[in-house]
Amino acid sequence: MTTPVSGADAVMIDVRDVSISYGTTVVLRPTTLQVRTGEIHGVIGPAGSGKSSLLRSFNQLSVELDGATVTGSIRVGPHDVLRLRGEALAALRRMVGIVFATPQPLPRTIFENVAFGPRMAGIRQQDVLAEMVEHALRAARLWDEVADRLDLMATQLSGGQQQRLCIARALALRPSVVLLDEPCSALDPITTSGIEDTLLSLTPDVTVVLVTNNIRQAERVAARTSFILMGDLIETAPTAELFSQPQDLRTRDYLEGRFG
Amino acid sequence: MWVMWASTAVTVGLLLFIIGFILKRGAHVLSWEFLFTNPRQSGALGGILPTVVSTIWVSAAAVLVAAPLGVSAAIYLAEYTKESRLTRIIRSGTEALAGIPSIIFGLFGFAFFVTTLGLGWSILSGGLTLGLMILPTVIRTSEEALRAVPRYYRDVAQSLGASKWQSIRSVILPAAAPGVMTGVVLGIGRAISETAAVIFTAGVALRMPLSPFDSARTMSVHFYTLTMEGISDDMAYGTASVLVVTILLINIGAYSLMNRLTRRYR
Repeated sequence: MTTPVSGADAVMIDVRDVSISYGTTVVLRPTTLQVRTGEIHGVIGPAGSGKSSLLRSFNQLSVELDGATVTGSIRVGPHDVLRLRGEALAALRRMVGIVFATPQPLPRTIFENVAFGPRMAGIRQQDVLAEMVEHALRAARLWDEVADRLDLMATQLSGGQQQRLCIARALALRPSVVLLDEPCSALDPITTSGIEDTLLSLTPDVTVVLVTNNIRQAERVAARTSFILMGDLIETAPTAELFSQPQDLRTRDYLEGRFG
Repeated sequence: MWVMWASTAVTVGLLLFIIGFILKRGAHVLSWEFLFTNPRQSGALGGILPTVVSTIWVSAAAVLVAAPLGVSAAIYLAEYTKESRLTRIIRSGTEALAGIPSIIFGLFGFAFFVTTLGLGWSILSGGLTLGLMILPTVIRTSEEALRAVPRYYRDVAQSLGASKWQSIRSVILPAAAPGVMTGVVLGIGRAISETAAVIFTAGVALRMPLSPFDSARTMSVHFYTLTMEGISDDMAYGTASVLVVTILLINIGAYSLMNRLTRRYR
């Protein structure tokens, strides 16, 4: 409970000696990493290096739904994530939104997709829900496109709109952290650029962790970036520094496209 | 190619032939009066009203037993267990249950519900027996439907703070509803058309059942009795026609309901 909550270098996500395995397969060896409050933190690395597993451990999805074993300690704000169960875990997930690689609207209307989190949290009043939905859709920069057709099935939207809807859905409960797991891997460059603008507009109110296969994307939006290679965190640095003068040879090789 | 076409044609043709055959021999006795009056002279004259009512009661009781049990079991198997020896045993047990001849269920129902529990030949005994009989169908189809729900629905729901149960209730079950419905409808079909298990447990009393503890004769049993005892072929085929049309209507109704649900949740 000693995590500072303000100041330039305040830590929002504090990862200490975290390792992740599925059965006997280790996907992440002991890793220590701090994500600062209000930054966009990029996580890059080749496919299969453990980035997504780490991200999905920040809200315990990896443990509960993928069957991962996570050891070490992860703190998000005041929460000791790996110890949370039941209602306390649900409460954490309300303050940590997540957006997945492909747009994944639920088979409901636009409104009901965004209102899903609030409804699960027990909010019933229609006017409160409407206000939350509008706020979230504005924050995700989707409001102007869908304001007059909130009753449309979410699956009818275009891919880019669906992904922004998923961002809005993750924002509906005004979380302090948003996790994104390669959010643009299924989208074209123009749509991607729109999503990146959206992410930039979220900070510094929201802390963003962006896992991406696209190193240019990290370069464009992340304040600091971590490089993970085959289960090892190689280095973390301010993005410009990491790209111009990587400390580790493997980082340089990766950034120059020699593997991955 | 033409082999497949021919097989399809034979299947559909056979179905139409059987339905046509039954309707041809039974249609001339069909009327509102046939449906809504009591039989006279053991069913040689008059209508079949008590058997229609009995069929509805017994099938409804069977569904009331099988649907909650079956869907709960399917939820448990699909959502709360990991693949293990135990789940394999449960699953093969379910399969085995599905393969037991219905007359064995009848015998069990007679020994357990009718005699041991003292429920007598009654709608309750018949419904409970049929409920157990169609349980495997409901479990298997519901479990498959639950497993067919995209994995990410669970990711999305739980990442947004839904508890496991909230996620199942508000996202996964609705998405699986068409498949679950199919299982229940298949079960209703089996329950309505069942004869052997019902004779042993619900009895053959040809009068209007007034409570769940009354003996009752369903349409299938009535048809069987009319034919076996040579009471009236016309009335037998008339009853069979009503039975066939009822099952057709249930299927059509269920499929259109399923279509509507599917469209809503895609």
